[in-house]
Amino acid sequence: MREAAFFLRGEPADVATDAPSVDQWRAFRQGAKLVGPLLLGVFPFAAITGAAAMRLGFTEVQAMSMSLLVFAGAAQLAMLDLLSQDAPFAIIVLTACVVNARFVIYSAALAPHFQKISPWTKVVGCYLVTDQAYACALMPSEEKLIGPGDRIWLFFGAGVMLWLTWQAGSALGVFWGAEVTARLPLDFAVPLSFIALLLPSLKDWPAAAAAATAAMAAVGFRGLPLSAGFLVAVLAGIGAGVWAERSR
Amino acid sequence: MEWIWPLIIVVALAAYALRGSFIVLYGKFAEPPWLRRALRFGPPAVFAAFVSSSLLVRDGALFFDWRDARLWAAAMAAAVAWKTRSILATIVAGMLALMLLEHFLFV
Repeated sequence: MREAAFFLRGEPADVATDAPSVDQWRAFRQGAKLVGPLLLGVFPFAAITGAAAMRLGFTEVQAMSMSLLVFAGAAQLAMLDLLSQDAPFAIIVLTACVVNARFVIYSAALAPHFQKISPWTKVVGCYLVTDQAYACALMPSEEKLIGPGDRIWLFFGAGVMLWLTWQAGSALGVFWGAEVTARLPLDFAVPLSFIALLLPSLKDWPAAAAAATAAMAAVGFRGLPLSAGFLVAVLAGIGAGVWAERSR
Repeated sequence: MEWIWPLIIVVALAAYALRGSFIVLYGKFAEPPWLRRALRFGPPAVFAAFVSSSLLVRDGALFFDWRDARLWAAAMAAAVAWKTRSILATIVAGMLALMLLEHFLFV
């Protein structure tokens, strides 16, 4: 997460003291700033997802509701892809769950920081769990600036900004998608966003084995009945990672 | 397409349950170690499956051509992603590479 340095450079020196905690509003704003550079990648991603739903024949209300309620780009794209192949309902739901299974890791990592907030704040917080908000909330470089009790507000700052950007990008795609995609090869931004997320996730050899297996299996199993190829590929990748770690 | 609404609702509820899982269960239930071991490989597997199928599958068939500008642009974007770890730099580099390659090198 190099983006952190971008923000830290611009901060006045007196903040970087060893004060144990700053106030919650300040942590919130800091989260919002940290997520900033990531938003520039999220916005086109949201626009493409919105436009893809419209191309499939969603109404504006359906396309916007999907972005508001599901609020998970990779799962939304997987759903749309499977819908275009006439996949059955259960396969689409299962695939979306497998794509979103990473939220469970984030939930476990964030859980200790969620314990001191009110129940209603918690309800909203669970909805805001995303790749980017998780990454910003637990950014190690923030240790000196944000006390452990205020990390949750770093999460909310990043989460709210990400939510606003995702919905604005989705609306652009839903209402003006055809005009935007005619000018730029924006559909290519989707594999590019996944490349950007993939490479930092290749932390060690078992992770690389999981990725390589899933990549080959996704192509090899593309013709599987009920469009189950993607689901099988991800499960095969996870299996390969677990196996590689065990046999190390 | 008549079940778009049920699909949106069910996937949304499932996504919310996955997001809330351990936040709600914190302290009541110990996370089984095998679950964390397996879930660690979720992101690389999901992202890699997306990348390979969007680059190598077209209309349900394997599509591989060394003159495919998208493959080269994707490789350049991967190098940028590896170096910078920035989503923005990766998207900008990949898009620029694709536009330049299509414009100057490939028909």
